[in-house]
Amino acid sequence: MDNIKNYFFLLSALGLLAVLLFIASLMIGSAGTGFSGMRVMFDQVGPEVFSVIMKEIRLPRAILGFTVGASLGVAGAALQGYLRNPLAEPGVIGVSTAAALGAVIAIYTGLSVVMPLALPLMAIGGSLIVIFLLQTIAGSGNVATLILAGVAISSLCGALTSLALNLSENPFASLEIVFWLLGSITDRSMSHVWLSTPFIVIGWLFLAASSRSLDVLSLGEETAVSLGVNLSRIRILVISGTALCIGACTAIAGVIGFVGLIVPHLMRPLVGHQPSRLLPASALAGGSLLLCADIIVRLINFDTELKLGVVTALIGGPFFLILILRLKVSHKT
Amino acid sequence: MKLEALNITVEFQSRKVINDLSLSLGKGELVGLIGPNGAGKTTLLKAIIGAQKYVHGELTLDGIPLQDLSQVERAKTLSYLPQAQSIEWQLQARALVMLGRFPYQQAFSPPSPDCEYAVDQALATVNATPFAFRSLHTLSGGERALVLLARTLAVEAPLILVDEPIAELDLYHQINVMQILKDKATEGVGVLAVLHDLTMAAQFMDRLILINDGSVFAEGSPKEVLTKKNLEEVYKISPHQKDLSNNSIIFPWKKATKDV
Repeated sequence: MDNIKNYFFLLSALGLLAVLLFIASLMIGSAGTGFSGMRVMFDQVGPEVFSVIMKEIRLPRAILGFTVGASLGVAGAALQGYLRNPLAEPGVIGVSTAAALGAVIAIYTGLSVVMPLALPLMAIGGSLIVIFLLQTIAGSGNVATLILAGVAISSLCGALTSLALNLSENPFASLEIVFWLLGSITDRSMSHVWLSTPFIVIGWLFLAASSRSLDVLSLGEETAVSLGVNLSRIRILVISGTALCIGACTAIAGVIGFVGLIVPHLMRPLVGHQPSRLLPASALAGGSLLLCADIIVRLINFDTELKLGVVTALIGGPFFLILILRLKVSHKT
Repeated sequence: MKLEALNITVEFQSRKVINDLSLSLGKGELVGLIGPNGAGKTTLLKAIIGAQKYVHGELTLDGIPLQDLSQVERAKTLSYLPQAQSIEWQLQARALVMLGRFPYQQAFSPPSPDCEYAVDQALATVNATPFAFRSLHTLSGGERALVLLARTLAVEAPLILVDEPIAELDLYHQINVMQILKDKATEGVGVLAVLHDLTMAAQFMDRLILINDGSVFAEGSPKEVLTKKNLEEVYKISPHQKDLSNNSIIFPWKKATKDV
């Protein structure tokens, strides 16, 4: 089948792109950029410091750039497939806002100062609570109940985050909360990588296990049941998978918007609109997109470093508008 | 393979939508399920495929209760085509038909040659091979209906349940689809079809089950079921009816004069 060949070609191309961007990400930084810059840095700081810079500063940043982007892409694709709605994204079930709330509480209470890992741990805790809430509220209901519950949880967590900002007496804590919410993977260490990776990988596995059933769901829920799809199993896989990987990503990187919405849109025509094929393609493309955005953040020199979430939203917003316009045109013809 | 529904009762908020209804569908049978809107036809099909809970009754396949079968076994035995199905994504026609092979496929592996063959067969049966590689949203309503029917046939199930398969089709495609279902029955497949067109039902079906208010009102050959009295009572219409040698042409003419 030509179809399958094209698909594997696409995956190989996206994989290669991700690898190249990963290497590029390793070669960029304030201590020295590019081949010549890295040589100068090596000569100046010596092999030991060089290896520390590479291993402790640049490597975790590149790894997180890929894993966070890939999680956003794959979770967006899975949710769009499950909810059969092209506007769905990981935020729609309230996971990112809940994880953000957990992190904000850690900053607000000063816990993150006492114990740096408290922030990601509390954020992951927040997303786990959301899994529990969604399963109890919308566990046996339909897709609409799930979306409504997600919106409710999302706005409640948003309100509580605002409350924390409102009540914060310490202006530095407020500033830290605001900056953290903007989303960034600057100055993350390998311990962040170790902390987030297990949750992210388990999340990916859950989503991968749902992929073929997502195809069948495009026929509608009843036909899917008639073909042997277990609806509650798929719901658990998609909700938990999304919450685990997006919760862990938000815990590490803050709130990064638009990637989960745009990447599946971009990839969908390239995989013949098939939800199962969209998952790996969106993972690779999401990882590449975030690596790319993080490289842009470091190449543009402002006095203050741009936040990753700001850049993705700045690129994503107009891009999405263009996409919608093109969609409108193609529907007319 | 024989499907039997015994005393099925389905309730929506304690209102009985299907009330103590029994029917059977055997090998090679072509059975029409007819009745006015809201009679419970679609709900009954959903109950049979496991997408609708019933409060009372039993569904069996060759005497084995359906609950005792795994979801996959059930999926391989009963194929279902819902009415006016909307497909969210612009899938390729052949990829959509391949979804019918879901119960046979292993996770994370490409479709087996058997699956490819079954899909090609299903596409050929409905004459959809010429547009098999086109995207679904570029097809006409008639072509789309054929592709969806091919998806149902690709399951290669011994029993097929179709809900209003000809409701939105032009005259040629109506006859085309009915003929495909009839050919399938000749091959030994049991077909249960929900129909609104009574002339089509009379022409193609071996047996008709007329449902009213969730119960079987009449059952038998088209001639036995489609009587003026039954139509007046259940559909509340007076038909123009022309009897041919072994069936009849029914044309809905006006509302029934007396309120029943």
